[in-house]
Amino acid sequence: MRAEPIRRRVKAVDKRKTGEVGLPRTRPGSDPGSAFHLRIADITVAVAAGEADLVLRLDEATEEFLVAPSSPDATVTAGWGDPGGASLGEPVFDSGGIWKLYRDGTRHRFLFSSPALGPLPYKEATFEADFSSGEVTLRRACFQAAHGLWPLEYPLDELLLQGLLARGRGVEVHACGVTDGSGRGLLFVGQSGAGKTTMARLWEGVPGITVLSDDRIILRRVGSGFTMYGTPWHGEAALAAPASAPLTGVFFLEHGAVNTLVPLRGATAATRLFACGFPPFFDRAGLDFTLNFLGDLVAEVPCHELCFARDNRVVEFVQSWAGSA
Amino acid sequence: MNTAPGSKKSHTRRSYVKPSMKRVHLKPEEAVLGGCKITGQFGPTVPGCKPLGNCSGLQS
Repeated sequence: MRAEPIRRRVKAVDKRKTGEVGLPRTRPGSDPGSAFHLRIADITVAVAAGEADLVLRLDEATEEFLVAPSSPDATVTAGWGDPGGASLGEPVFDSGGIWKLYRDGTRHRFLFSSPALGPLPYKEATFEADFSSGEVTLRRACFQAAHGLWPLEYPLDELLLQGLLARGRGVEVHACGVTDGSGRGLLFVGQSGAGKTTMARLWEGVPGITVLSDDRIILRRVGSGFTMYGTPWHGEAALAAPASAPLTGVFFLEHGAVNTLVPLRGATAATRLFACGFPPFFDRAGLDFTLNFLGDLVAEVPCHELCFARDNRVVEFVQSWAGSA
Repeated sequence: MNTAPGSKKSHTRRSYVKPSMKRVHLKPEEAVLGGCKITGQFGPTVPGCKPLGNCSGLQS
Protein backbone atom coordinates (compact mmCIF):
# COMPACT_ATOMS: atom_id res chain seq x y z
CA MET A 1 0.00 0.00 0.00
CA ARG A 2 1.36 3.40 -0.93
CA ALA A 3 -1.36 5.71 0.25
CA GLU A 4 0.07 8.73 2.01
CA PRO A 5 -1.68 11.55 3.80
CA ILE A 6 -1.79 14.00 0.93
CA ARG A 7 -4.68 16.39 1.25
CA ARG A 8 -3.52 19.17 -0.99
CA ARG A 9 -4.39 20.13 -4.48
CA VAL A 10 -1.99 19.03 -7.16
CA LYS A 11 -0.31 22.38 -7.18
CA ALA A 12 0.97 21.86 -3.67
CA VAL A 13 1.64 18.12 -3.41
CA ASP A 14 4.89 17.51 -1.58
CA LYS A 15 6.87 14.64 -3.12
CA ARG A 16 8.67 14.00 0.15
CA LYS A 17 5.32 13.03 1.63
CA THR A 18 4.27 10.85 -1.30
CA GLY A 19 7.37 8.73 -1.03
CA GLU A 20 8.23 9.37 -4.69
CA VAL A 21 11.87 9.29 -5.63
CA GLY A 22 13.69 12.56 -6.07
CA LEU A 23 14.20 13.26 -9.74
CA PRO A 24 17.30 14.34 -11.60
CA ARG A 25 15.23 16.29 -14.09
CA THR A 26 15.24 19.70 -15.59
CA ARG A 27 12.44 22.19 -15.25
CA PRO A 28 9.62 21.28 -17.63
CA GLY A 29 9.87 23.14 -20.86
CA SER A 30 13.46 24.18 -20.44
CA ASP A 31 15.37 21.27 -21.91
CA PRO A 32 15.10 20.53 -25.65
CA GLY A 33 15.25 16.81 -26.28
CA SER A 34 14.43 16.05 -22.66
CA ALA A 35 12.80 12.82 -21.57
CA PHE A 36 10.40 12.02 -18.78
CA HIS A 37 9.34 8.86 -17.00
CA LEU A 38 5.82 8.77 -15.61
CA ARG A 39 4.41 6.13 -13.31
CA ILE A 40 0.64 5.89 -13.17
CA ALA A 41 -0.94 2.95 -11.36
CA ASP A 42 2.46 1.25 -11.24
CA ILE A 43 2.69 1.43 -15.03
CA THR A 44 5.77 3.29 -16.23
CA VAL A 45 5.75 5.24 -19.47
CA ALA A 46 8.91 6.82 -20.89
CA VAL A 47 8.38 9.81 -23.15
CA ALA A 48 11.22 11.38 -25.14
CA ALA A 49 11.51 14.18 -27.63
CA GLY A 50 13.04 12.91 -30.83
CA GLU A 51 14.16 16.31 -32.04
CA ALA A 52 16.23 19.04 -30.48
CA ASP A 53 13.67 21.79 -30.98
CA LEU A 54 10.82 19.85 -29.45
CA VAL A 55 10.50 20.90 -25.82
CA LEU A 56 8.50 18.69 -23.50
CA ARG A 57 6.37 20.41 -20.91
CA LEU A 58 4.09 18.81 -18.36
CA ASP A 59 1.05 20.20 -16.63
CA GLU A 60 1.21 20.39 -12.85
CA ALA A 61 -0.89 17.33 -12.19
CA THR A 62 1.09 15.08 -14.52
CA GLU A 63 4.33 16.39 -13.08
CA GLU A 64 3.39 14.82 -9.76
CA PHE A 65 3.61 11.40 -11.41
CA LEU A 66 7.21 11.77 -12.60
CA VAL A 67 9.65 9.14 -11.41
CA ALA A 68 13.33 8.49 -11.83
CA PRO A 69 14.24 6.66 -15.05
CA SER A 70 13.48 2.96 -14.76
CA SER A 71 12.50 0.07 -16.97
CA PRO A 72 9.33 1.29 -18.68
CA ASP A 73 6.23 -0.64 -19.68
CA ALA A 74 5.91 1.63 -22.71
CA THR A 75 8.20 4.02 -24.55
CA VAL A 76 6.98 6.91 -26.67
CA THR A 77 9.05 9.13 -28.94
CA ALA A 78 7.67 12.41 -30.24
CA GLY A 79 8.68 14.41 -33.28
CA TRP A 80 7.50 16.83 -35.91
CA GLY A 81 5.98 15.61 -39.14
CA ASP A 82 2.87 15.24 -41.25
CA PRO A 83 0.21 13.44 -39.19
CA GLY A 84 -1.97 11.26 -41.36
CA GLY A 85 0.26 11.88 -44.32
CA ALA A 86 0.87 8.24 -45.11
CA SER A 87 -1.72 5.53 -45.62
CA LEU A 88 -3.37 4.95 -42.26
CA GLY A 89 -4.69 1.47 -42.83
CA GLU A 90 -8.12 0.17 -41.97
CA PRO A 91 -10.52 2.51 -40.13
CA VAL A 92 -11.45 0.89 -36.82
CA PHE A 93 -13.18 3.43 -34.57
CA ASP A 94 -14.46 7.00 -34.70
CA SER A 95 -14.78 8.59 -31.26
CA GLY A 96 -17.16 11.23 -32.57
CA GLY A 97 -14.76 13.73 -31.03
CA ILE A 98 -11.22 14.66 -31.85
CA TRP A 99 -9.74 11.23 -32.56
CA LYS A 100 -10.14 8.27 -34.84
CA LEU A 101 -8.40 4.91 -34.74
CA TYR A 102 -6.97 2.99 -37.70
CA ARG A 103 -5.24 -0.39 -37.81
CA ASP A 104 -2.14 -0.70 -39.93
CA GLY A 105 -1.19 -4.36 -39.81
CA THR A 106 -0.94 -5.01 -36.08
CA ARG A 107 -0.25 -1.39 -35.19
CA HIS A 108 -2.78 1.06 -33.74
CA ARG A 109 -2.82 4.50 -35.33
CA PHE A 110 -4.71 7.30 -33.59
CA LEU A 111 -5.37 10.42 -35.65
CA PHE A 112 -6.33 13.70 -33.93
CA SER A 113 -8.13 16.53 -35.73
CA SER A 114 -9.98 19.67 -34.75
CA PRO A 115 -11.55 22.34 -36.93
CA ALA A 116 -10.15 24.83 -34.45
CA LEU A 117 -6.69 23.86 -35.68
CA GLY A 118 -7.43 23.73 -39.38
CA PRO A 119 -8.41 21.03 -41.86
CA LEU A 120 -5.35 18.84 -41.36
CA PRO A 121 -4.79 16.45 -38.44
CA TYR A 122 -2.70 18.05 -35.73
CA LYS A 123 -1.33 14.83 -34.24
CA GLU A 124 -0.89 11.14 -34.93
CA ALA A 125 0.11 8.42 -32.51
CA THR A 126 1.19 4.98 -33.68
CA PHE A 127 1.60 2.14 -31.21
CA GLU A 128 2.68 -1.46 -31.52
CA ALA A 129 0.00 -4.09 -30.96
CA ASP A 130 0.71 -4.36 -27.22
CA PHE A 131 1.19 -0.58 -26.73
CA SER A 132 4.74 -1.22 -25.48
CA SER A 133 6.19 1.37 -27.84
CA GLY A 134 4.97 4.12 -30.05
CA GLU A 135 5.63 7.33 -31.90
CA VAL A 136 3.79 10.63 -31.80
CA THR A 137 3.91 12.88 -34.85
CA LEU A 138 3.01 16.53 -34.34
CA ARG A 139 2.18 19.15 -36.95
CA ARG A 140 4.49 22.01 -36.16
CA ALA A 141 2.12 24.73 -37.36
CA CYS A 142 -0.51 23.69 -34.81
CA PHE A 143 1.64 24.11 -31.70
CA GLN A 144 3.25 26.91 -29.78
CA ALA A 145 6.49 25.01 -29.59
CA ALA A 146 8.42 27.76 -27.85
CA HIS A 147 6.38 27.25 -24.71
CA GLY A 148 6.85 23.51 -24.72
CA LEU A 149 4.17 20.90 -25.15
CA TRP A 150 3.16 17.51 -23.92
CA PRO A 151 2.85 14.94 -26.74
CA LEU A 152 0.54 12.74 -24.67
CA GLU A 153 -1.87 15.57 -24.02
CA TYR A 154 -5.46 14.46 -23.27
CA PRO A 155 -6.91 12.25 -24.52
CA LEU A 156 -3.80 10.45 -25.83
CA ASP A 157 -2.44 9.87 -22.32
CA GLU A 158 -5.60 8.06 -21.31
CA LEU A 159 -5.84 6.19 -24.61
CA LEU A 160 -2.31 4.85 -24.11
CA LEU A 161 -3.06 3.76 -20.55
CA GLN A 162 -6.35 2.28 -21.74
CA GLY A 163 -4.43 0.12 -24.20
CA LEU A 164 -1.90 -0.95 -21.59
CA LEU A 165 -4.55 -1.64 -18.95
CA ALA A 166 -6.71 -3.71 -21.28
CA ARG A 167 -3.85 -6.18 -21.70
CA GLY A 168 -4.45 -7.83 -18.38
CA ARG A 169 -3.48 -4.95 -16.14
CA GLY A 170 -6.66 -3.21 -14.99
CA VAL A 171 -9.46 -0.78 -15.72
CA GLU A 172 -9.79 3.01 -15.52
CA VAL A 173 -13.09 4.30 -14.18
CA HIS A 174 -14.87 7.62 -13.90
CA ALA A 175 -14.70 8.00 -10.15
CA CYS A 176 -13.47 9.89 -7.14
CA GLY A 177 -11.25 7.84 -4.88
CA VAL A 178 -10.36 8.53 -1.26
CA THR A 179 -8.57 6.66 1.49
CA ASP A 180 -9.66 6.98 5.07
CA GLY A 181 -7.50 7.19 8.13
CA SER A 182 -7.12 3.41 8.24
CA GLY A 183 -5.89 3.22 4.65
CA ARG A 184 -9.16 1.83 3.31
CA GLY A 185 -9.90 2.74 -0.29
CA LEU A 186 -13.38 4.09 -1.00
CA LEU A 187 -14.45 4.51 -4.61
CA PHE A 188 -17.26 6.93 -5.54
CA VAL A 189 -18.36 6.17 -9.08
CA GLY A 190 -20.43 8.31 -11.41
CA GLN A 191 -20.63 10.06 -14.72
CA SER A 192 -20.45 13.82 -15.12
CA GLY A 193 -22.86 15.53 -12.75
CA ALA A 194 -23.14 12.58 -10.37
CA GLY A 195 -21.31 14.36 -7.56
CA LYS A 196 -17.68 13.21 -7.76
CA THR A 197 -16.30 16.71 -7.35
CA THR A 198 -18.76 17.47 -4.57
CA MET A 199 -17.75 14.27 -2.81
CA ALA A 200 -14.04 15.04 -3.20
CA ARG A 201 -14.50 18.49 -1.69
CA LEU A 202 -16.48 17.08 1.22
CA TRP A 203 -13.67 14.64 2.02
CA GLU A 204 -10.83 17.04 1.34
CA GLY A 205 -9.40 18.38 4.55
CA VAL A 206 -10.84 15.66 6.76
CA PRO A 207 -7.98 14.48 9.02
CA GLY A 208 -6.32 11.32 7.75
CA ILE A 209 -8.01 11.46 4.36
CA THR A 210 -6.26 11.31 1.00
CA VAL A 211 -8.15 12.17 -2.17
CA LEU A 212 -6.48 10.12 -4.92
CA SER A 213 -8.46 11.81 -7.70
CA ASP A 214 -11.74 13.65 -8.08
CA ASP A 215 -12.40 12.25 -11.54
CA ARG A 216 -10.31 9.27 -12.72
CA ILE A 217 -9.22 6.19 -10.80
CA ILE A 218 -7.40 3.11 -12.05
CA LEU A 219 -8.28 -0.28 -10.58
CA ARG A 220 -5.89 -3.23 -10.63
CA ARG A 221 -5.73 -6.63 -9.02
CA VAL A 222 -2.85 -6.79 -6.57
CA GLY A 223 -2.35 -10.07 -4.76
CA SER A 224 -5.64 -11.44 -3.55
CA GLY A 225 -7.46 -8.11 -3.66
CA PHE A 226 -8.03 -5.02 -5.73
CA THR A 227 -6.11 -1.77 -5.47
CA MET A 228 -7.18 1.68 -6.57
CA TYR A 229 -4.72 4.26 -7.84
CA GLY A 230 -4.79 8.01 -8.24
CA THR A 231 -4.22 9.45 -11.71
CA PRO A 232 -3.15 12.84 -13.06
CA TRP A 233 -6.51 13.22 -14.81
CA HIS A 234 -8.39 15.27 -12.28
CA GLY A 235 -11.69 17.11 -12.46
CA GLU A 236 -12.82 20.54 -11.35
CA ALA A 237 -11.53 20.07 -7.81
CA ALA A 238 -8.02 19.60 -9.26
CA LEU A 239 -7.19 16.79 -6.86
CA ALA A 240 -4.73 14.15 -7.99
CA ALA A 241 -2.25 12.12 -5.98
CA PRO A 242 0.31 9.47 -7.02
CA ALA A 243 -0.84 7.12 -4.30
CA SER A 244 -2.86 3.93 -3.95
CA ALA A 245 -4.93 1.98 -1.47
CA PRO A 246 -6.66 -1.39 -1.21
CA LEU A 247 -10.21 -1.12 -2.52
CA THR A 248 -12.68 -1.59 0.33
CA GLY A 249 -15.98 -0.32 -1.02
CA VAL A 250 -17.59 0.84 -4.26
CA PHE A 251 -20.34 3.48 -4.13
CA PHE A 252 -22.44 4.50 -7.13
CA LEU A 253 -23.39 8.13 -6.59
CA GLU A 254 -26.94 9.43 -6.66
CA HIS A 255 -28.24 12.69 -5.31
CA GLY A 256 -30.82 12.48 -2.55
CA ALA A 257 -32.38 14.31 0.36
CA VAL A 258 -30.91 11.94 2.93
CA ASN A 259 -27.95 9.58 3.01
CA THR A 260 -28.86 5.99 2.16
CA LEU A 261 -26.98 2.87 1.11
CA VAL A 262 -28.52 0.15 -1.04
CA PRO A 263 -26.42 -2.97 -1.69
CA LEU A 264 -25.82 -3.86 -5.34
CA ARG A 265 -24.58 -7.20 -6.53
CA GLY A 266 -23.67 -9.22 -9.57
CA ALA A 267 -24.60 -8.03 -13.01
CA THR A 268 -26.26 -4.86 -11.72
CA ALA A 269 -23.10 -3.66 -10.04
CA ALA A 270 -20.82 -4.82 -12.86
CA THR A 271 -22.95 -3.09 -15.48
CA ARG A 272 -22.98 0.19 -13.61
CA LEU A 273 -19.22 0.03 -13.17
CA PHE A 274 -18.77 -0.78 -16.84
CA ALA A 275 -20.92 2.21 -17.81
CA CYS A 276 -18.55 4.44 -15.85
CA GLY A 277 -15.42 2.80 -17.20
CA PHE A 278 -13.20 3.58 -20.14
CA PRO A 279 -13.00 0.24 -21.92
CA PRO A 280 -11.49 -0.15 -25.38
CA PHE A 281 -14.70 -0.56 -27.34
CA PHE A 282 -12.65 -1.32 -30.46
CA ASP A 283 -10.72 -4.23 -28.92
CA ARG A 284 -12.55 -7.51 -28.44
CA ALA A 285 -9.91 -9.13 -26.24
CA GLY A 286 -9.62 -5.96 -24.20
CA LEU A 287 -13.37 -5.84 -23.67
CA ASP A 288 -13.40 -9.50 -22.62
CA PHE A 289 -10.71 -8.78 -20.06
CA THR A 290 -12.52 -5.66 -18.81
CA LEU A 291 -15.83 -7.49 -18.32
CA ASN A 292 -14.18 -10.38 -16.50
CA PHE A 293 -12.19 -7.99 -14.35
CA LEU A 294 -15.27 -6.02 -13.33
CA GLY A 295 -17.23 -9.22 -12.72
CA ASP A 296 -14.53 -10.47 -10.36
CA LEU A 297 -14.31 -7.11 -8.64
CA VAL A 298 -18.01 -6.78 -7.82
CA ALA A 299 -18.00 -10.37 -6.55
CA GLU A 300 -15.25 -9.58 -4.05
CA VAL A 301 -15.73 -5.93 -3.10
CA PRO A 302 -18.96 -4.66 -1.49
CA CYS A 303 -20.89 -2.39 -3.87
CA HIS A 304 -23.66 0.04 -2.96
CA GLU A 305 -25.77 2.74 -4.44
CA LEU A 306 -25.10 5.80 -2.30
CA CYS A 307 -27.77 8.48 -2.27
CA PHE A 308 -26.27 11.47 -0.57
CA ALA A 309 -27.29 14.90 0.56
CA ARG A 310 -24.71 17.42 -0.47
CA ASP A 311 -23.24 18.16 2.93
CA ASN A 312 -20.46 16.73 5.06
CA ARG A 313 -22.69 14.31 6.96
CA VAL A 314 -22.07 11.84 4.15
CA VAL A 315 -18.41 11.58 5.17
CA GLU A 316 -19.33 10.30 8.63
CA PHE A 317 -22.05 8.14 7.08
CA VAL A 318 -19.59 6.36 4.78
CA GLN A 319 -16.88 6.17 7.44
CA SER A 320 -19.39 4.47 9.70
CA TRP A 321 -20.06 1.88 7.01
CA ALA A 322 -16.34 1.39 6.37
CA GLY A 323 -15.66 0.92 10.05
CA SER A 324 -18.20 -1.86 10.30
CA ALA A 325 -17.45 -3.54 6.96
CA MET B 1 -23.40 -34.81 -9.07
CA ASN B 2 -26.32 -36.00 -11.14
CA THR B 3 -29.61 -36.73 -9.45
CA ALA B 4 -31.06 -40.12 -10.20
CA PRO B 5 -34.29 -40.00 -12.19
CA GLY B 6 -37.29 -40.13 -9.93
CA SER B 7 -35.43 -39.23 -6.74
CA LYS B 8 -36.98 -36.63 -4.44
CA LYS B 9 -35.36 -33.25 -4.28
CA SER B 10 -34.58 -32.26 -0.72
CA HIS B 11 -34.36 -28.52 -1.30
CA THR B 12 -37.28 -26.19 -1.71
CA ARG B 13 -37.68 -24.50 -5.02
CA ARG B 14 -37.18 -20.79 -5.23
CA SER B 15 -40.15 -18.81 -6.36
CA TYR B 16 -40.11 -17.71 -9.96
CA VAL B 17 -39.05 -14.18 -10.61
CA LYS B 18 -39.95 -12.81 -13.98
CA PRO B 19 -36.90 -11.50 -15.83
CA SER B 20 -36.83 -7.77 -16.10
CA MET B 21 -34.87 -5.32 -18.16
CA LYS B 22 -32.76 -2.78 -16.31
CA ARG B 23 -31.50 0.21 -18.21
CA VAL B 24 -28.07 1.55 -17.28
CA HIS B 25 -27.26 4.99 -18.57
CA LEU B 26 -24.14 5.26 -20.70
CA LYS B 27 -22.65 8.54 -21.87
CA PRO B 28 -20.77 7.37 -24.94
CA GLU B 29 -19.05 10.71 -25.49
CA GLU B 30 -17.49 10.35 -22.04
CA ALA B 31 -16.76 6.65 -22.33
CA VAL B 32 -14.74 7.02 -25.54
CA LEU B 33 -12.63 9.94 -24.26
CA GLY B 34 -13.88 11.99 -27.16
CA GLY B 35 -14.17 15.44 -25.69
CA CYS B 36 -13.11 17.81 -22.97
CA LYS B 37 -13.59 16.27 -19.53
CA ILE B 38 -13.26 19.59 -17.76
CA THR B 39 -16.03 21.53 -19.41
CA GLY B 40 -18.17 18.56 -20.32
CA GLN B 41 -18.30 19.78 -23.91
CA PHE B 42 -17.89 17.23 -26.65
CA GLY B 43 -17.21 17.19 -30.34
CA PRO B 44 -14.28 18.19 -32.45
CA THR B 45 -14.36 21.91 -31.78
CA VAL B 46 -14.81 22.32 -28.00
CA PRO B 47 -14.53 26.12 -28.41
CA GLY B 48 -15.05 26.88 -24.75
CA CYS B 49 -12.43 24.49 -23.46
CA LYS B 50 -10.49 26.08 -20.60
CA PRO B 51 -8.76 23.10 -19.05
CA LEU B 52 -6.76 23.26 -15.88
CA GLY B 53 -3.23 22.96 -17.13
CA ASN B 54 -3.73 20.67 -20.10
CA CYS B 55 -3.85 21.65 -23.75
CA SER B 56 -1.60 24.63 -23.17
CA GLY B 57 0.51 23.69 -26.15
CA LEU B 58 -2.30 23.97 -28.65
CA GLN B 59 -2.58 27.00 -30.86
CA SER B 60 -5.96 28.63 -30.58
